Amino acid sequence: MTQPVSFTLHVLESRDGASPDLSLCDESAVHNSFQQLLQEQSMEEPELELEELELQELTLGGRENLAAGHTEAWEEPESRREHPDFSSATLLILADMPSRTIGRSQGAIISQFYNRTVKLRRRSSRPPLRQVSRSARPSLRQYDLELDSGHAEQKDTHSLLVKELQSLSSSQRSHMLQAMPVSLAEKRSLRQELGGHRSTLRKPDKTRRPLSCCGQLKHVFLTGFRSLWDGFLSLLHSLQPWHHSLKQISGRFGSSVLSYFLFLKTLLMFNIFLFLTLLIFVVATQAAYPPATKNSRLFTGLELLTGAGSFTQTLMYYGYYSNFTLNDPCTPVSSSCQPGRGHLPYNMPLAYVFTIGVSFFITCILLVYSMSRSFGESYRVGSTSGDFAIKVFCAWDYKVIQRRSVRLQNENIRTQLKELLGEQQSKSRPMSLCRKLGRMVVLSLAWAVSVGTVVGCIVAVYYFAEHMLKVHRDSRDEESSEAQQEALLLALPVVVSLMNLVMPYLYNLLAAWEKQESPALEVYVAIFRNLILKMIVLGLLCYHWLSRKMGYSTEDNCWETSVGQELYRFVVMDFVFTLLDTFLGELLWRLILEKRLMRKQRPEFDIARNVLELIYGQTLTWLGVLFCPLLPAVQILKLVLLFYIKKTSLMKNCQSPSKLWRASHMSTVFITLLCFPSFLGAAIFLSYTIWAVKPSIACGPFRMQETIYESGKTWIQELEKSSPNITWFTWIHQHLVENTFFLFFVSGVLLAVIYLQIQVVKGHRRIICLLKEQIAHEGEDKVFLIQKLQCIYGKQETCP
Amino acid sequence: MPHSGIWVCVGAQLPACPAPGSLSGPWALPWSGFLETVVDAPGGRGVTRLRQLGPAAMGGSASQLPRDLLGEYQELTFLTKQEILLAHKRFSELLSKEERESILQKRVPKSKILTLPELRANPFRDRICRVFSTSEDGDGSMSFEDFLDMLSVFSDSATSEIKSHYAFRIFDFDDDGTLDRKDLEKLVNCLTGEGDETRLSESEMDQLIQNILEESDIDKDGTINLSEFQHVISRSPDFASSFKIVL
Repeated sequence: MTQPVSFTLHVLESRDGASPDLSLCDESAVHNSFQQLLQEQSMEEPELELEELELQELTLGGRENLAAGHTEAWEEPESRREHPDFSSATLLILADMPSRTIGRSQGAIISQFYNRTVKLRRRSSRPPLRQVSRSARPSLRQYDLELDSGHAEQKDTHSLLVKELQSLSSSQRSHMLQAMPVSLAEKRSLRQELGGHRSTLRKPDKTRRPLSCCGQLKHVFLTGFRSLWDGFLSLLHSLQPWHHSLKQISGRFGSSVLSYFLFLKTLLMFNIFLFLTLLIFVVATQAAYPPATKNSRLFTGLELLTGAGSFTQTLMYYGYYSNFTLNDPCTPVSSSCQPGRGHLPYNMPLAYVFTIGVSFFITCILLVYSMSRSFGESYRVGSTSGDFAIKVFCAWDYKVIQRRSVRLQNENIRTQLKELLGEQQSKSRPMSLCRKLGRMVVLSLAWAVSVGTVVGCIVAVYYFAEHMLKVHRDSRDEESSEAQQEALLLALPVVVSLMNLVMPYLYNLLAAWEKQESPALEVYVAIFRNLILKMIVLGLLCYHWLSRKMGYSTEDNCWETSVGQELYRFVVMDFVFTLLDTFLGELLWRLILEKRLMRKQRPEFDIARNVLELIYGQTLTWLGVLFCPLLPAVQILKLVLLFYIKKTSLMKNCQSPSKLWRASHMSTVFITLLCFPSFLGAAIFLSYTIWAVKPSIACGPFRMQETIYESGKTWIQELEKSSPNITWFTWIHQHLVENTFFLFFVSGVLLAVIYLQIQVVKGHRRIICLLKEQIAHEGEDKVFLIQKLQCIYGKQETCP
Repeated sequence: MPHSGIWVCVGAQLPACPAPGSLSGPWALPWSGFLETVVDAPGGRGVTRLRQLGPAAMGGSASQLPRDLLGEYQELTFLTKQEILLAHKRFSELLSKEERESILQKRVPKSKILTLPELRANPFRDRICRVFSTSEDGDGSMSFEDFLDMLSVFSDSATSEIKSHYAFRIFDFDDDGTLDRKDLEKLVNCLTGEGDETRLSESEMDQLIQNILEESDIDKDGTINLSEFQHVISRSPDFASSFKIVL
C-alpha cells in the first residue's frame, strides 16, 4: 500500500480542522514519548531527515485519516465497531501511543535499542565514571521528561545510542547493530559514527601504552589465523551439498516436505561420521595387515543382495578381523620375535571395541544435544493454545516460489482455517450420548485391529524365522548349490520388509475409517502404530539372532558374521522395498489417478511414513555396526541414492501434503524417535552383546575371550603389569568404572538436577500466570483511561 | 571516504587497534559461521578481508563490490560473504548494462524487483517492497542496500526477533504501527487468495478475526501491537524456518 504524495499537501488544514484546540494537541505531543524527540532529531540530524520525513508523513497521514474518518482507508465498519464514538482527538492520541509507534517509526526503534543497550552494558560491565549520571537513568522516556523540564543536555536518541554502543564490547556492539531493524544506510551511518568516535577516543590510549613487539606479533599471527579460518569457513559454506536441490524442494513443497530431506541429511552426517571413524581406526589398519586366510569363493553378483558368498571373508564382517596386536613383531605369522621394540603396538581387539564404543558415545551426545536444542525451540514454558493467531501469522511459507504451489498453499490454508472454524463451532455443541458411544466403539475396534495385526505379525515372523532356519539347515545337509542356499537366506528379510511395506497402508485405512478429530492426532497415531510394529519386530529379530547362535555355533563357525550378513540383507531389502514403494505408491498411483480416474489430484508425500522408514533403516545400521563395520558405508550409499530417487519421484509424482504440518514440531518428534527407541535400542543390544554374550571361538578379534568386555579387562591388567607408572589409569578403571557406587552417585546427582529444573519451570509457570493477570489488569486500566480521555475531549468538542 | 580511518589503523597505527584477544572469545564460538561479523574492529579486519577476497570473489560478478564495503555489509547484515556476492550478482542482473557501473547509486523499480522468481508469486510481494524500500516517494523501488536488507532479514541466520519485527511491518498494511481488523482481514485474504471464490465468507472472516484478537490482543485495546505480535510469534518455532527466502 502506498501513500499518495498529495497527502502531505492537505495534511495541515485537515489537522487544523480536526483539532481545534491547539493547546491540547500540543499537550498530547508532550506526553507522547517519541514524537518530540523525532522532531528534534529531524532538526539536528541530517542523516535522519529522510526517515523522519517519511515518518511524519505517515503519522500525519494517519492523523488525517483518523481525524477525517472519511478517507477510504479508514472507512471500514470494524474500526468503528471497536471505538464506536471516539472523537478524533482521542483517536489521535491512541495512534501516538508508544506501543503503536514502535511498530512503524525509526526513532522509536532506535530508542528501544538504546534502552536495550543500556541494559546490556549494565549487565556486562560496571559503567565507567563519566557515564554514571546517564546510566542512572533507567530509560529514554525519563530522559525525555528531563528534556521537557529544560535540562541542559540537548542530545537526541541517535547520538545517545552511539554513545551507549561505544561503551559496549566490540562483539556485543556489532551484534546489536546487526539485530537492529533499521535500514542498512542507517546502520552504516551509525557504524561510521562509532568508528569515528572510537578512533578519537582511542588515540590517547595509544600514547599511553603502546603494544609491545610480542603483542604485535601476536596480533599479526591472530589476523593470519583468522583469515585462514575465514577461508576455511567459506569453503565449508560452498561445499554445502544439495543446496540447490533443497531450495527446489522447498520452493515447491514448503518446509514440511523439506523436513524429511533435512532429516535424511542429518542421518547421512551421522553415518559419515561413524563410517570415517571405523574406516580410520579399524578397517584401514586391518587392511594394512591382512590376515593369512584366503578368500576362496568367486564373486557371482548375488552377494550384493545377500552379503554372503565371496563377501564373507572380507573386511565387511567381524569374522575377518584378527585378534592380535597388528604391528607387533611377535605375530603368529612372523617367526622372529623381539618384544620391547620402540613402536606403539596396535591391539586390534581393543581398537575394535573402543572405536565402536567411542563413536557410539559421540553419536549419543550429538543426538541428545540436537534433541534438547529442538525441544528448547519447539517447547515454550507457559505457551497456551492459540491456534488461530499462530495459523494466520505463521502459516505462510516464504520459501515456496512456484505459482502453482503458491495457489496450492492458498488452498491448504483456506481449508485449514475453515476446518479450524468448523471445529470450534462443533466444539461448542456437545456430542450426543449415542454418537459418543459409537465413537468409542469405532476407536476401540480400530485399536483392537492394529494391536491384533502387530501380534499376528510378530508370531508370523517368529515362526517363519524358525522355519527358515530349519529349511536352511536341511538344504545344507542335502548339499544343494550355494546360490540356492544363499537365496534361501533372503526369504526372511523379504517377508519382514514386505510387512513393513504393507502394514502402513493398512493403518492408513484404519485412520481413514476412525476419523480422528484433529489431523495432528491422526499423524501421531499413525506414527505410534508403525513404530510399535517396527520396533517389536526388530526386538524379536535381535532375540532370534542371539538365541540362534547357541544352536548354530557347532556348525556355523562364526555367528557374528552371519548376524552381520543378516543385517546387511535387511538393509539392502529395506532399500529395495522403499524403491518399490516409491514406484508403486507414487508413480503407479499417480498414473492410475491421472489416466484412469481422470483426476487432477496427485498422491501426497507421506512424510511420517517416510521418516519412519529412515529411522528403521538407521536402527538396522546401528544394530549391525559391531558385526559388519562397513555397514555405515552401505547406509551412506543407500541414503544418497534415496535422496535423488525420492526427490525425482516427489517432483514428478507428488503434491504437497494438505495436512496440518508443524515442521519444527515434527522434526523434534523425529529426532526424539531416532534417539529413543532407535538409538537406545541399538545401544542396549550392543551393550548386551559386549557384556554378556560369548563370542565365537574360531573367528573375529575376540576369539579367545569369554565376553568382548573381557578383552578390555585383560588389557587393563596387562597394562598394569607392563607399565606401573600409569597406575592412575587402572585406579580410575577400578574405582569409577567397575564400582557401582560411583554410578549410583552420578545418577543421583542427575536426578537431583532434573528435579530442581522441574521446580524452576514450575516457578516460571506461576510467574507467567501472575504476569498475565497483571497485563489483563493493565489493559482494563488502559480502556478505562481512554474512556475518561474521550469524556473530556467529547465535552470540549461539543462546546468549543 | 568514510573508511580512510581503517587504512590508517592498518598501516600506521597498528598498536592502536583493539587488542586481538578481545576479538575472539567465548562469544565467537556459537556464531562461528558469522565469526567475521562478531569481530568488528575495523583495524584488524581491513587486511584480512583484502587478502582473502582475492581473485575468486572478484571474478564472480561483472562489476565489483568495493572490498571494504563488502566487509561492512557483512558486519551489518546477517549475510555471509558468498550471499552478499550472490545478491550483488542477482541485483546487477536487474540493471541494464550501462547502469551496472554505478550499481550502488541506482534504484531498481518495484516492477523489476518483482520479476525475481523468489518474489514473483509471493502474495506479500508489494508489502515486502514497500517495507524494505527506503525510497522517499514510497514507490517501492529498491537500492542495493535495501535489497541486502531484505535478504538479511529473510536469511537463515537472522534472529527470530528481527524476522518478527519485519513480519509485523509487512502485515501492517496501512503502516499505522498496529494490526487492526482491517489489516487482519487483508492478511487473511492474502493467505487464502484474493479471488472472490477463494475468500472466506464474511461471517467466517468475522469469527476468525474475533478469535485472533481474543488470542493475541493481551491488553484488549482491539488491535495487535508489535509486542503482542512478537509474543504470538515466539510460541511458534516454525515461523523462523518459514520466514525465509533463499536466493
